[in-house]
Amino acid sequence: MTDREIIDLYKEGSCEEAFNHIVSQYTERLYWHIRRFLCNHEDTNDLLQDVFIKIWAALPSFRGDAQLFTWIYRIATNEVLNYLRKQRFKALVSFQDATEILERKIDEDAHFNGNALQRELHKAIQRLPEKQRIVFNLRYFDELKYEQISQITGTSVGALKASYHHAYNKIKEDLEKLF
Amino acid sequence: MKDRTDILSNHEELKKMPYEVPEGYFESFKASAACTVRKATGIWHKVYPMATMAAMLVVMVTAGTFFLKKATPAQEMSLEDYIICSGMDITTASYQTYSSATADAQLSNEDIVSYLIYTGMSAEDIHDMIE
Repeated sequence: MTDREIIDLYKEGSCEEAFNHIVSQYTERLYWHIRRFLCNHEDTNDLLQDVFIKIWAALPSFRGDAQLFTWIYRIATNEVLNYLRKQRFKALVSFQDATEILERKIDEDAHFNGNALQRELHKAIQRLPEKQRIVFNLRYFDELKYEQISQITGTSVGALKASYHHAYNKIKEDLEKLF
Repeated sequence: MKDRTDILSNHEELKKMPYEVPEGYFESFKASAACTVRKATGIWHKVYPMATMAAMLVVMVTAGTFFLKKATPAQEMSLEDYIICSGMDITTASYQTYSSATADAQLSNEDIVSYLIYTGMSAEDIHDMIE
């Protein structure tokens, strides 16, 4: 079912059916989007549930002026940012470094099945500022167009291009030091 | 032409996610998502925050009233208490203790006691008189 058809279904009053289609089509994509930020399965599972709760609650207010896809990703990205901010605060009050905690999660993740280069890539991504992390993940992994990322983040295309350029070069530099 | 030194472009495996998920995770998540959302957005979930705030308000008002009453001294004193308290400090000014400006005015108990203290009677003697 296309996004347009899902919206039409919702507007006809089949709210639950439309929502079930959204869950069916977006669960995996959102899961990996969130996982790249949270670095472990359990946290990702919890936040993914919260994201779908927010989507359900916000569906009545979806006007259809944005694409459903970018609207959903926007909700997910905002939830990720809120979560990261809370984790940063928790780390601060316990005199820890939030980035080091995320890197440790990658190292200790029982579900990690990649090679050393992949491990260092994901650790390097956690060292980026949050906004660069978002742009990099959406562009490099999801291969979204800058216009789509702009709708998700509310940032201009020009700023996104600059951000991605910085993030890409920083990560490339980090990896080339090691490999 | 690919830049051979561009490690991010030259390794295709980097674009893949290097994580597994527990077996059957996505299927079970999709199956239970609607139920999870229904529970989370049910009536209790909406009422709970308001109920919590109302309960906190009640506790704050009750505690505030309690402490306010504790802090406020008693407005009225019994005659007996007045005598005992007066007995602890007999240095009262004469113009306060004896007033006969109007002979027809009725004297209050406090006026009488004040007068007696002024005349030198001890608080214990006054207390015995009343007893």
